[in-house]
Amino acid sequence: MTFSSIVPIVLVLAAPAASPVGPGDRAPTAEEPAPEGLEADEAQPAPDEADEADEAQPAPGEADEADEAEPAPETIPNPFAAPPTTAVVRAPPPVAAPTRPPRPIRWRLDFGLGVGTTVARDPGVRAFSRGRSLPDTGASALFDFRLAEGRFFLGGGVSYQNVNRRGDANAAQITSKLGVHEPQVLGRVSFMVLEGLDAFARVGVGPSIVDMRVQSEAYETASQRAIIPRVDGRAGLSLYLPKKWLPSKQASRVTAGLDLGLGYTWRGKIEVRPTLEQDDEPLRATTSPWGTLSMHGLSFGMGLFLRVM
Amino acid sequence: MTYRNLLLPSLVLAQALTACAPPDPYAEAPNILPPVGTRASLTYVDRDEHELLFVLPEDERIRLVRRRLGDDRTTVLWTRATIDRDRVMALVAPASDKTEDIDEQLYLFPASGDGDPRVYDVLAPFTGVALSPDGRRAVLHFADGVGTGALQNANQVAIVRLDSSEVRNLTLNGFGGRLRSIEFPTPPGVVGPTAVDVGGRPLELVAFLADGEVVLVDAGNEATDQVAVRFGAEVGFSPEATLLRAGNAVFGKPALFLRPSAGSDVAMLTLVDKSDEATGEAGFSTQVSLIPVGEHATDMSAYDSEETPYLVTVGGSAFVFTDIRTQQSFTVGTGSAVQKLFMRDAETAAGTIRQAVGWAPGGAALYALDLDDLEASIGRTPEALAIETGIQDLVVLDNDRVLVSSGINLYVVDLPRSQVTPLSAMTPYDARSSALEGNQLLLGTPGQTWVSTVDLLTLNPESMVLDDPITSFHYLPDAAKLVLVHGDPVGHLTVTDAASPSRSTSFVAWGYLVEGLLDP
Repeated sequence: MTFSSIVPIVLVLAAPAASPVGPGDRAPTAEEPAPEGLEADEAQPAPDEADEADEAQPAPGEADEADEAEPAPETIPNPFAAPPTTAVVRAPPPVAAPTRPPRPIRWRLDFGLGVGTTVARDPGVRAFSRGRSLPDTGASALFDFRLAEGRFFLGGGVSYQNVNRRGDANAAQITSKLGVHEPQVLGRVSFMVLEGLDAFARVGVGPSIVDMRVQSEAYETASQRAIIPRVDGRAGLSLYLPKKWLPSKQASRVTAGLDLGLGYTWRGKIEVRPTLEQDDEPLRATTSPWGTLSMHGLSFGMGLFLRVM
Repeated sequence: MTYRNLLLPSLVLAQALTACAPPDPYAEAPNILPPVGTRASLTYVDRDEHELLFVLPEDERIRLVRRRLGDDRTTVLWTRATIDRDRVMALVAPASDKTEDIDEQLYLFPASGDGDPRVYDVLAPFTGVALSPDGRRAVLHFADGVGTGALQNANQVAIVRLDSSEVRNLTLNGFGGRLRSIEFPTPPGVVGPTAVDVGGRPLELVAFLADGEVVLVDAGNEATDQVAVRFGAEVGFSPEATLLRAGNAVFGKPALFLRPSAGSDVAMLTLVDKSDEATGEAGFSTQVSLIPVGEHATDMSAYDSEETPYLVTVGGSAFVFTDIRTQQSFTVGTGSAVQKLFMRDAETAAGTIRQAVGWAPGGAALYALDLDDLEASIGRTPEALAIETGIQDLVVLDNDRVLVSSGINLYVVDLPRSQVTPLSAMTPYDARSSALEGNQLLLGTPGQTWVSTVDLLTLNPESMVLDDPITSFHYLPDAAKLVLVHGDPVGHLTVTDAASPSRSTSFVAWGYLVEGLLDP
C-alpha cells in the first residue's frame, strides 16, 4: 500500500462530515455540554443520573411533534361564530427511545495496518535494494489500558512486518531478492493530549527472518536464510476520531484513526555467504563470504487502526 | 491543507532526499581481466581495486590472496605467466595521459602470491611480450597493435632479465621496418640457456623480425652492438621464423636460419666474431647467404649426419635436406603435403637415432622418417601413420607421443609403437586444452561439460561430468589440480585432482570474485 493510496482513506475516515449527524443539526442531548476527552468522561453523570435526565427532558421525537403543534393559538371567543364543538386533542406522551450509556475509555484495543520504511545506513543494502530504504508493510494488534484514571495508557501487543525488495549489483551481473519477515512483541505508552490526539512511544522486539536470494548473470542461483534480532523504537502521534464526532457520542465503542511514527530500527548484522543451489547429485560447492549486511537505520511509518475501547 | 497542497512539498522533499543520497556503489560492472594460469594458482587482475587476485586451490576449498598492484592513478594493461609458469607478470601504466609523473612498470609476482614482487621500470606502455624458452628473459614490445600513448616508437623494446632486476630499454637500430615478431633462436632440442658460442663468447641472441629485415641483439651484453640485416626489395624476403644452429665438429660456425613468409629460399646468417671498430668492444657480425630449398618452406629444422650439416625443410610433399655448406639438397617424398616438422629421438636396435616427423593441417597422415645413415638410404620412405578423419591440430605431448584433434575425434599417436588410437567424443576436443600429468593425458575443451583423462599406458579414456560448461582449462602442477573455469562474472570454477579426476574429490567454488562485495 502506498502513501498516495492511504491518504484518501485517511481523509475519508478523518472527515467530520462522515458523521451522520452534523454539529449544526444535532438535537440537544444530555451528553452535549460534556467537555472533550477525559473531562467529558469524568463529567458524565452516572448512567442512572443520565437516565433520569433523559426522562426529565422531552424526548427528541416528542419535542418535534410539539414544535409542529405550537404555538398553540389563544382561543378568543368569536362573537359571530358558533361556540366550538370540539376540543383540542393532545397526543399521548411518546415512550422515550432507549439510549446506550456513555462508555468511559478504560482500555483500548487497536487493530492496525501500516506501511513504513527503514533508511539503512549500510551501503551494502544497495546490492539488495534499488535504494537504501527498506519499505515494509505490516499488521498489528495492541491493547493498552489507562493508568490511574489519568491521561497515560500503557500496553502492548504483537505485530508482523514484511519487507520485500529486489535489487542488482555490478551493473546487473547479480540480481537479488530480499525478503524479511518480522514478528514482534510490542510495548506502548501513550499520552492522550486530547481525545483524538495521542502521543505515543513504542518499542518492539523480535526476530528478523531474512531470506536472500541472488542470481548471477550465468543463472547460477544462491540463497541464504538468516535469523537476526531486531529492536525497534518509535515515537509519534495517533490521530483518531473522538467520541463526540461519532454517531453514538460518548457511548461509542469503536473509532478509527491513523498514527505517524519516527524512530530507529536496529537489526543484527548478517554475514552473507549464500549457498549455491544445485541440481541433483551436485559437486560439493563452496562459496565466498560477501561481507556484512546491516539493515538498521532511521525508520518511519504510518498506519491505520481500528480501535475498540 | 488539501491533498494537492501536500503533494508539491512531498515531491520536492523526495527529490531533495534523492539528490542527497550517496552514489550507488554497485552501478558499474567490475573491470576484471581473464584469468592467467600458473603452476600454483589462477590470477585475476581487478582493475578497479588495483589488485592481483591469486586463487589457490586446496583440497577442500580455494584460498584467495590479494596483492596490491598500482594505485588509483594507474591501470594494468595486461598479465601473463612466465614461460615456466612460476611467476606472473603484469604491466602497469598511468591510467590517464594527463598523468606525467608515473612511469610504466612491469611487476613480477610469484605464482603463490607470497613474497614481494620484483618491479622493473620500463619506458613505454608496451602491448606485447615475448619470452625466452629458457625462462630468463622477457622482451616487451608493441606487437602489431598500437599502445595507449599519443605517439609511440614502434621499434622501442625493453629487454627484462627475469632472474634479476636488470632491464634494458632500447630502440632497434634497423632500417625502418616495423617490428613484426620476436624470436629467441634456439638450437633444436635445447631448453637450457639460449646462448650460442661466437668467438669464444656466449651470445644470447634475440632476433627482431621486421618487414624485409632482421635485427639481432645480444641480450646478455648491453655493450654489444646490434646487427641489422636488410633484404632488399628486389629479393622480396621477409623473415617469418628463425632457427639457430650451434657450431660443432661438422660445421664449426654457428648459423642463424631465417625462413621467409614467401619464396623458396632460406636465409643463412653465419655468426662471426667481430669487434667494434671504434671502441674495440667485442661484438659479432653475420655473413648472409640464401639457400634454395626448392618449394616454399613452411617449417624447418637442423640435422647433422656424421659428416654433413643439413637444413631440413618441409613445404611441399617431401622432406628437403639441404647441405648448408654446399647448398646441395635432396628430398624424401611423402606422397602428400607436409607443412610442419619436429624432431625426436627414436630408440632402435642400433641405439638412439634422430627421427623427423612431418604433418600438415588437413592432412591424413603423420610421416616419420628415420635419419640414421641418411645418405646411404637412397629410396628410403617415411613411415605413414594414418589419421583417418584428417588432422586438425597436433600437440607434441612428449618425445614419444602426440595428440591429434580431428573434429569429434581425438587420436593418441604412440610413435615408438606406431600406434594410432582413436578416441571418439560427442563434441570436438581442442588438443591445445590439454596437459600431461605423468602418463595421464588430461583434456578439458572449452564448451564441454566434462573433463577427460586418457591413461597413455592402457589408452583407457575416462570422463568426469561437470555441472557447468568449461570456459578455460588450467593445469596447476604444483597444486596437482585441474581448474576448470566456468563463465560467470562472479567467479565460478571446478577444482579436481589432476591425477585422478573424480566427482567425489572435486568441488565447485562460486562467487569468489565478489568476495567482500557488501563491504565497499
